Amino acid sequence: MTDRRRVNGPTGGTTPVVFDPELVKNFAASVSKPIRTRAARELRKIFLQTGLTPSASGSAYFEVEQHPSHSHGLARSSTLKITCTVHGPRPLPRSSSFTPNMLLTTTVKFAPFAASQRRGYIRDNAERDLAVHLETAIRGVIMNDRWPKSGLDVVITILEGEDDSWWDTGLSTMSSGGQTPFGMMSILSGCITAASTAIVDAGIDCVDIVTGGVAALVKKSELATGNSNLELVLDPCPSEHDEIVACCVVGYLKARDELTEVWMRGDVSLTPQVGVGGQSEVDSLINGAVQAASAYHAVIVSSIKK
Amino acid sequence: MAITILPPQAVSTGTYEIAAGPKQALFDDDSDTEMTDDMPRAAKRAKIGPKAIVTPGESITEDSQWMRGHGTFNTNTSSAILATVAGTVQRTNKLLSVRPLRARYTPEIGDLVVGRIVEVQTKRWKVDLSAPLLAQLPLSAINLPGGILRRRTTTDELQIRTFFSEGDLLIAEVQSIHSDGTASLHTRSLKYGKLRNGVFLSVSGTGGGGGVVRSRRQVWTLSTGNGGGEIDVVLGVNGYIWIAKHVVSEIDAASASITRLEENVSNTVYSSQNDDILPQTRREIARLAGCIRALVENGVRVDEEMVTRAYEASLELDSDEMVDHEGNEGGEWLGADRGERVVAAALAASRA
Repeated sequence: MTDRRRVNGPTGGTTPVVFDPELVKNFAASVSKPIRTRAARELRKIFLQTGLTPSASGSAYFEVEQHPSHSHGLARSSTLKITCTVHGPRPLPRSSSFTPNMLLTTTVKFAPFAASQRRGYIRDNAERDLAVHLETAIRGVIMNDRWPKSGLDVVITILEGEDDSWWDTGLSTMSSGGQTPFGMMSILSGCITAASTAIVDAGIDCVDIVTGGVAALVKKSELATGNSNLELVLDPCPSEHDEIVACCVVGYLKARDELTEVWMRGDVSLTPQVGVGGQSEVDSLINGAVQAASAYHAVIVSSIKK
Repeated sequence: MAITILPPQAVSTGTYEIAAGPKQALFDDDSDTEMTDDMPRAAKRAKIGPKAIVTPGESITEDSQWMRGHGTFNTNTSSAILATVAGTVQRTNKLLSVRPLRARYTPEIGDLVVGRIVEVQTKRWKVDLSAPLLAQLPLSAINLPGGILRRRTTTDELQIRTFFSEGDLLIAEVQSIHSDGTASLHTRSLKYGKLRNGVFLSVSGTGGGGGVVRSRRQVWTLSTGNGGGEIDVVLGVNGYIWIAKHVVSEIDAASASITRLEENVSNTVYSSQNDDILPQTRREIARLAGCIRALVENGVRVDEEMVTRAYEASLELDSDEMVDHEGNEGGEWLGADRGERVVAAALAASRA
């Protein structure tokens, strides 16, 4: 659908003009592909704060640490910056019929400048898809029978989303084959974490705190040798890897040890592997994602208590 | 045995007894008054940490003798009571509930509120009540000066700013709630109207940890010490507070009858001019404000009883410290340590 109501920016990419002489000299080096410098099981640090939007009943801001190697203020790859506001529980419009449970509405929207590819103001399929995933993740924790005849709106704005490409090329580093890019998986994970923090901030009854976590199977670089050429990494940054074989995002309830949401993509086998302790690739992916999610739980708790 | 229902107590010392371990002797005592003795538990409390805030899904207790209240739930499989909101644990006899950390004020019909005009429109004002949405005060819901009862005409609309203009503080009552959650206010009583001669204070409203609670009397006059005279205290349910010099009107508001309203509303109700306020009165207003701030900082509810007791405690603290009111000013300062002492004394007095 084309947007006829606004004056839109150019659809193609534009290149910012660089004036810094230092940067111009080392330009090629500074825009080279970022490399994962942290350990396979190490997560990027996150920043989480509640109560940023005073007019909402609950709100949260979520940000992921920048890649350490950036030069002259030029980041090599994009990170994740998400704001979430929760409105409600509020009465449903008069026209709506009676519901014994609270109606949950989730909206995910990329800011037009969130990625290297400019987004429109009208929600596209990827955003709707994320919203549905987010809704399934949250629905399980909210005690929606405690709020009959009311509605809850969870609105997420992604201020900066992770691209599969690093910023210079604008080309995808791996063949996503027209499918959703892997960056969407970590975006969803961030959305789940931010939304559940905002819901707790709004004081809505929940059975537990849901957190998002991502794990991925990536091709090892040629130098590393081992019996398997695949490696499990937590919290993958898609632009840092040559090829992501499979990726999994979960919505995890730590206190109950339950999953409300699993989204897995890629080429994985169900048969147990020798290399990874007798687990199948699917199991190890889910376990990895759960591990990442439970690490974020502590951050949420401390940000709520602040 | 007569059943006594004690008021809910915020666990200000820091903690709730998480069912740390197996059933302790602590919970075995079946009498209702057992929660007042804090001594034997001190060692146990220290383990849980200074800020006892539970988060959703966290277990509060596994003992089945407790009843679950607001903000908690339990599963069918176990007797554990788990929190559903982030907040502090409260106990009322055998009832455990979790009080949410941050709750915005939601207007309800009949609430007495203190608000600030933020916007003037043609036929109404928009009033900030620290609620998610601005409330509205229609021109038709105020008393006209002189108490004339008539339809509001375009003349009134043109001089709307002579009644209230931007930034004015007022005391009002919530008349109705619209379907979208906005409140509509009215000031059609001699008790309500523009505020002057005092200071404004914003604390957390109903719902948060410490703050203003809905009570029988939200407005009262306090006779103060140190020659301060009489001071009015207005505790808005929304957490806005007004402390002002008491001005004796020609006709006492209580004796005014609704049928003779027009005679009683004086022409000066919409004046923005302060009266003369003596330095002693100003000092006592500041002391009261300090007392309320200290109560909020220490997570104690703010109502008539606690404010009065805190005020008395601060006067006593002064006389203990021999603060000389002629030369040595600053006795009404109630920061940090002094505030805590005042609150502790006030709490002790209210229990006695």
